[in-house]
Amino acid sequence: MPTSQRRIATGCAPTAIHFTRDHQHIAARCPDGKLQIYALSSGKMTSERAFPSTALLLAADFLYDNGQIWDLSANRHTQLASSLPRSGAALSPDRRFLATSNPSERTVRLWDLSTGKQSHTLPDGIGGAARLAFSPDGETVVSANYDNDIRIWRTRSGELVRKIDDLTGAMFAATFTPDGRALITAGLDETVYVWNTRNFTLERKLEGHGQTIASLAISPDSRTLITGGFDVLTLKNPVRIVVWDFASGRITDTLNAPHRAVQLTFSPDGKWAAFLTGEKEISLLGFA
Amino acid sequence: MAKLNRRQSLELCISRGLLFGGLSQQNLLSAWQAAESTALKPTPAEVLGPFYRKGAPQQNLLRAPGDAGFPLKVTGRVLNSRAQLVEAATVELWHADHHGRYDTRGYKYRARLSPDDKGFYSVDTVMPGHYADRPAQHIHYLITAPGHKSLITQAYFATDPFFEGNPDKNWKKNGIAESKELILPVRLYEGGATAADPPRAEITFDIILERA
Repeated sequence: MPTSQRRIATGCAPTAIHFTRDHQHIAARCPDGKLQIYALSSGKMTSERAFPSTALLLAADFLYDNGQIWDLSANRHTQLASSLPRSGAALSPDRRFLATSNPSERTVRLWDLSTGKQSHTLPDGIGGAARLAFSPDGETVVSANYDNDIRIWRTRSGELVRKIDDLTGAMFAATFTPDGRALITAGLDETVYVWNTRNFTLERKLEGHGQTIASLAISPDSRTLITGGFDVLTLKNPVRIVVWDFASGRITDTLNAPHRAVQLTFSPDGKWAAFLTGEKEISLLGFA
Repeated sequence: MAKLNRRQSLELCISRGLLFGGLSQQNLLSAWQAAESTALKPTPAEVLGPFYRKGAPQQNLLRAPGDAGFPLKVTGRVLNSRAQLVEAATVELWHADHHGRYDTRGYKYRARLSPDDKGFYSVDTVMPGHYADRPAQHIHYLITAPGHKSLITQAYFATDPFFEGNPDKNWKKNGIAESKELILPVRLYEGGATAADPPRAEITFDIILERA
């Protein structure tokens, strides 16, 4: 269970956060496009860089802006063959592939960032992707659609591996376990689903969060799962953060957050989990 | 405050604002008779939203006895853009309760309807409430039919205080509605002599599908 809980005060209400690869910082995207970097140890902002409000933060040092993908660490950019739809996006862990959702065309587009070209247009459901996610090896991509269905494709071939169509609520959160053996999803129906990635059949369900689940994260050692709720009446109502022992499915801690708990993410060293509340802050949970 | 008559009271129950005065909803029936070959404009699309649940039961009565929400009857017809009957259409609709809360565990105020052999559907429910993140009353729709494009849309209420008594002017407010056409006039039925026939609001939402 978390051993500490604190907040980093930010100058804006961030819309996206990503831990840096050095484990020491967290990047936050402000609604006006500013990219702010905060030190985890002190909570102080160490750098700030302005980008247009349309920029999309894909990793702490990787963003999309106006037809270009920027790798800020390497200080280079890739021109995409066409602009991205303004909607959800996910970056493969090796940063080779990008998945984007276009609800109006009812497709997921895959981009090969080594060429800057779109590699596949995948027919998706009718509602648009509530969440896109890549497997740790980048070989599999998942769209959890607002129409309640989950579609799983092979990234390179675009082959549909499976369509899970027996859920009765959208999955707002989806992530693979670090070893890639399971896909974890959760959403409207308050339940955590664990899917075996050999054939994407249901392995088990974790029940007990007791609220619609907006986000989830699993620790790098796969021992701790965290789910963050939201209130279906308003995003301004208090919500629960539930900490699970992933192996046993047992709840080890329940915390309260004043507002929504979204964008849950673990630091690469597993020492921190962070989430956003819609306020001018980053919430941090510390793990010994 | 002057004492309200029965009708005025009922109107306030529906809207907490102004009842839309004009009952000038386009009469599609006369449009087909006048010009059967005239293409009808497909119903504008909206987003599906996060609260859709597959598997809603086939039911026309969504309002339970003692329900606190103000009764609402929704009727309409599903046609194609040539004003022809759409065979085997399915209308799914869902909305929040009068507090603005969706049922995410069950299927309260959720239904799957099969229009009759003339394309008509109807449902007895309650006026949806407001919720902070989307402060206009609305009903979500998903309409599917073989040979036609699936349509996701929403119906809004001209009586909604959100539109400040003037939906023609305020329909774009906060970017809530995609189209003025989706803001529907609300009729008031004052009720019959018995408790079994209570006062209710009524809207008619005719849906025009595009061929696939």
